[in-house]
Amino acid sequence: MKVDRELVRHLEILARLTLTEEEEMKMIKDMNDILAYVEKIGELDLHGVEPTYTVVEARTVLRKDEVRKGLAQKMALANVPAKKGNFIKVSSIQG
Amino acid sequence: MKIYEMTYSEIETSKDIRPDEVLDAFYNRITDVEDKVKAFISIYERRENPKTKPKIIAVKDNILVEGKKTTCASKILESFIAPYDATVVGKLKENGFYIVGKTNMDEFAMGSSTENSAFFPTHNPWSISRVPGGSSGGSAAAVAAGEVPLALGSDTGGSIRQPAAFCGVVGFKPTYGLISRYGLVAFGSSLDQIGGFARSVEDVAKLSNIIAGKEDLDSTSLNNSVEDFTRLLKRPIKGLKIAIPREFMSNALDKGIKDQIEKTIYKVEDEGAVVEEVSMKMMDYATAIYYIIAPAEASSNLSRYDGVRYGLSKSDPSLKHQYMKTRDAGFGPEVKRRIMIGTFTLSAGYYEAYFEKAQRARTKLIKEFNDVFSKYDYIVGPTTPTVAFKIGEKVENPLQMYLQDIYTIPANLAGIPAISVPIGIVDGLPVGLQIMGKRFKDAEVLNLAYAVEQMVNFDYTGGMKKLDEGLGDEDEK
Repeated sequence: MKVDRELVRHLEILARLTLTEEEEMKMIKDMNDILAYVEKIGELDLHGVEPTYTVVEARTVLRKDEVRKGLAQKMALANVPAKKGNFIKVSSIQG
Repeated sequence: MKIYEMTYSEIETSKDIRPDEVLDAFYNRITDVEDKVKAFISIYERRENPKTKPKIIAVKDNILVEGKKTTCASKILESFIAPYDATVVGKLKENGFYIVGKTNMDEFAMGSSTENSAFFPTHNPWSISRVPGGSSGGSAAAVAAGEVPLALGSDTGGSIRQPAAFCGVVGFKPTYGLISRYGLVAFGSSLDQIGGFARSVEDVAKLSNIIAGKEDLDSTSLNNSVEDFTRLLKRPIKGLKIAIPREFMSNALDKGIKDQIEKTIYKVEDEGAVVEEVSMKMMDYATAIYYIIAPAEASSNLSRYDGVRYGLSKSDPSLKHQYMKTRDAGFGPEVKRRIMIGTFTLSAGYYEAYFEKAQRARTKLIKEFNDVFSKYDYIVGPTTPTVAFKIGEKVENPLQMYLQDIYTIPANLAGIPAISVPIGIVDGLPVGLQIMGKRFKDAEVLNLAYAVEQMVNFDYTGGMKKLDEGLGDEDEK
């Protein structure tokens, strides 16, 4: 796999990042080095091996359906950068 | 012996120390050495004199303490105030622990030197021109410098054990699932584990007793026996079976460290343990597997930093541009690199070839562990390939930095308990021995660690002395 500027720019959009030209050049180099290293796993015979996403048994954990104390509204909103009353203010989703 | 040189257990059992003396000792020590070490991002004001002896502890700055800043050493969380306590912090408070402050780290726990902190690097007390390791470098350095007897860290690929080895302290990553991650800022959720630093194996076992336990707020936390981590500390090690993977003792390992490890292994054999060399071929693939899985999980976890609900916010009339501006300004280079790699390995067209394949390879690695653990109680080897390196030495080369964790990463991928115990000095710097055990055999891991600690008789105050005498700076000349 060869990482080029086109791929980096595509990934920037997916990751919601905008790198400077200089950052892009370094990113291309670093990603190529790192991917060349991790591609070592291609040497392994993984035929018929199941993936492990977590070492704990994958299961749905439910709790009792009862009211519990949670974060008070004031606390939950304490770190919000832009508020209007008790609402979070958000910029336009268009554009 | 000065109070700040004492272990947590020694302070607890000592009858002639007053509560205020304990508090004074550590606050004074912090005042004396913090300018050189820079272990803390925030230090809390000394509260009035306690009635009982305070159990002094520092907490890594990615674990929430209610009403206090939790920055993850990132500009994006620079002014974030935690609205609640992490479960482990709640447990510390319930048990009368006194948190003195929050320690420095690599931004979002991504790094092996604490140089990726957005604020400043931490210095190794044994040699202040060198890194303390990372990502929990602040916690390790604070314990080594005598600023605290105990500290909490988090370990995703070695972030407790590697800095423990570099700073000459004990660092323990318990079995994945034994300690709730609720209130630990997420990095790689299938790998992250909270654990402790101390200047004795006994202390780290006692600390684990306090913080362990299942709870609903972390659905991966497990019920399996909230056991007594101290229960096997003093068990004789005669007859225990230990495997040394050949792959851990290869040319990548510093010669001086190899000698120290071998010397320690002879002592372990003298005590009657059975030590044998094994081959674990998957160990050579662990770092490659990890650097697919961890960045993928990170890119997903870090998508929450959008400048809308908390943290840094760079406003823009367009929401999408607000996201971008906020993230551009808030994340440092290593975090951006991992987000980009993770975004790549999870993206359409590459998912099967990278992410999925790495998860299959992870299964194969776990199987190899299980095979070895069917014949042996422990897997032992070095914690790090080198001793602490110079500040600035590797920061420009991310891959070189990643290879610092070749011996520590496998335990995270398999979710097994692992500890680093200091065993000696090479070139004036500490060396750690890593002991890994079967899942849920944490008390067994601490058992061997304790036995090794008794054999090697490491001077945990060595870093403090070098710091006080200014000896740590000599290799700068």
